[in-house]
Amino acid sequence: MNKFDFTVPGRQSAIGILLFFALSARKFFKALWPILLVYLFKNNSIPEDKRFWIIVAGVFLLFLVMLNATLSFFNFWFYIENNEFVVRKGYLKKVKLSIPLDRIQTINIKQNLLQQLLKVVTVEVDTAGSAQRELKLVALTNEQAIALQLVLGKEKQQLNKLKSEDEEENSQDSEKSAPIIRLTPTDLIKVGISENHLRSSLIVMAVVGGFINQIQDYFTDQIEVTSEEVGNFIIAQSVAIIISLSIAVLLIGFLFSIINTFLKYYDFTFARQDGEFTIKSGLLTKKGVTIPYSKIQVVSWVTNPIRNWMDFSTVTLTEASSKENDQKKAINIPGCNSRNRAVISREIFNIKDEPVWDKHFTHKSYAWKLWLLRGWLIAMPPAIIWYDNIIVLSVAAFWIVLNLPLSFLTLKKRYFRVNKDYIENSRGTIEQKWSRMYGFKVQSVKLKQSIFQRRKGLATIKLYTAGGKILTMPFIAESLARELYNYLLFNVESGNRKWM
Amino acid sequence: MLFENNSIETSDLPRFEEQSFQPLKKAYLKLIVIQWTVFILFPAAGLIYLSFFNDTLTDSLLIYFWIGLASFYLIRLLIIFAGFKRKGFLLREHDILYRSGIIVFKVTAVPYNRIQHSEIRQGFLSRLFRISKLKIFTAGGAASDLAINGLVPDEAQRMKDFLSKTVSSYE
Repeated sequence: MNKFDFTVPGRQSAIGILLFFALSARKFFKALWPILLVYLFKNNSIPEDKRFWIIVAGVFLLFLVMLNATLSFFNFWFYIENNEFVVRKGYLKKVKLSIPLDRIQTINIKQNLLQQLLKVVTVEVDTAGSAQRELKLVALTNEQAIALQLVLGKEKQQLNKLKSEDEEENSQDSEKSAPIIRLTPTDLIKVGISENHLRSSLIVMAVVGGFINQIQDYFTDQIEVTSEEVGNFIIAQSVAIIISLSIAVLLIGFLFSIINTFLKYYDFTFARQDGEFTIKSGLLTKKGVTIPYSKIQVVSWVTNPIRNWMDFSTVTLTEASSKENDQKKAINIPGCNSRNRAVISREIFNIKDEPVWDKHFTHKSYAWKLWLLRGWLIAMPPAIIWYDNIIVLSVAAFWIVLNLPLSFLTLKKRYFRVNKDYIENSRGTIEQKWSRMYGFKVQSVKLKQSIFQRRKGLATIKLYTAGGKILTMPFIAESLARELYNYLLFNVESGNRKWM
Repeated sequence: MLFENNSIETSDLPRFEEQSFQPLKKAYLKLIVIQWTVFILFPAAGLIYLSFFNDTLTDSLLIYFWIGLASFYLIRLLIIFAGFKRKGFLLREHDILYRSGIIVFKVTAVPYNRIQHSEIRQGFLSRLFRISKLKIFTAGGAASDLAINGLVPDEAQRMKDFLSKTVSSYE
């Protein structure tokens, strides 16, 4: 049935050579762009006779780029051999990479704009564990990619079946791929509008700032002149400028949120199939991701008051990853309503209804600590330095007063729930974020107690997970903390269920 | 009670607080004291320079600086000595525990069936003092990795062998 034979070494799609050419050109451009820029701006000052040599150099460079692309393409082989997926590449430095099939964690298919034009896709084969490796095939045809995904998935499953007979988690009847969520443009607008615009504004400012910095390195003189002019102007009309500037930044942030949402989540579908989730989305860069349930370490969902009112939240699935805090390993599902969320939870945690939980709140001294840290500790240094400036003093006082109710709001949202199999914590101030996991998937447990906590009989528990996420239960009764500590260790050590 | 509808009495679970932790080797205490002393010598050298070869600071100010530095050194030394008694590890049937901290007390537990690998490290000074450090890695990231310093090299090697054997038995 499969018309591709992956046991013999194969090359990527022939049209892919164009893609290799583009990649190769980009590599050269990245290395040479400062030089190019200088030549572009100083074109007038170059004498006639030297222009010829510049053109010759350019043509030679182009030739190098093409040679590099062609050689790379024809020296790139991939195949399956001895239960390993192998990639051989390189012409000057030859590299052979191989991944044992049973170590393959996910097989993702992606497509960017150029690849869409050439009708090829990227296949990323990912592993996890102490030896982090990733294989990337950038120019496969869609059929090739799907066949490869199928073959690798199948071989892997067979190997796993041979190794262990029990598949308690994946015992769902093999249903056909059924989309759980499909986002319409209206949904996307909702998601975009209710984004945290302050965060987007900060990102925009950071990007613009970084860009200005980069330009500054090359055009220091001009920038100095203009920034001086701008500076004078700002001083002259400071208040009006600052207000309109902040409005502009917020507006840009707002637009950025919506555009970003559309780029990332256009045509978003989230489906399940045989113990796996598949996600497809993207406008310019299309992305397809597959995650088996068993690889998911933590499921979190976030809402803010606006989203709560519209009944949707963003669900994040955190996969096992050996790289720390690797955001790419976290999969976001925007626009989940409570029903979708229940479906996801049911699939991953194998529970029909909301389980019976014991809910434990945080001790109120946590709020006082937050007030001290977020309020006083931030406001006091400027207040002491500019003790004679009434504006600074009133802002500092306002900050401290503002943080008192906020700290208690944070305290109210800080709780955890636990039962025999699962643990979940909640946190946030304006937003609220829940993280839920299987107790047995915990990697290590830490109990912390400061001298202040000891006097009050309190302690903090930290749970470390393989997704890099840390679940913290701060300021709970010490007896409860020790009970939780002992129970979770028991839970991890008494079973032999695979955490990955 | 922490758990409802539970066949296990949580009060019957093994408790770490009742078992005794093994202390670290005294040589390690010497090593940290020396490290701290060497560290404090740098600002002290600066102060000596200011005291004898430079007149920009008044004498009374210099005295405050000296008192400040000395008390900083002594307080940290006190914390090192008090904290050293707190430091210790415990190998149990199914997990390894490490505790430390005098101002913030911490106990970290890593179950054997969650260990990725372990290694022994020995710096230049530790070699002089004949002590080793055992590092235990989990998939939970650097913050959850366990490092037990102040072990006799033989003991560290034996622990590492034991861990490797136990870890492979889970696979």
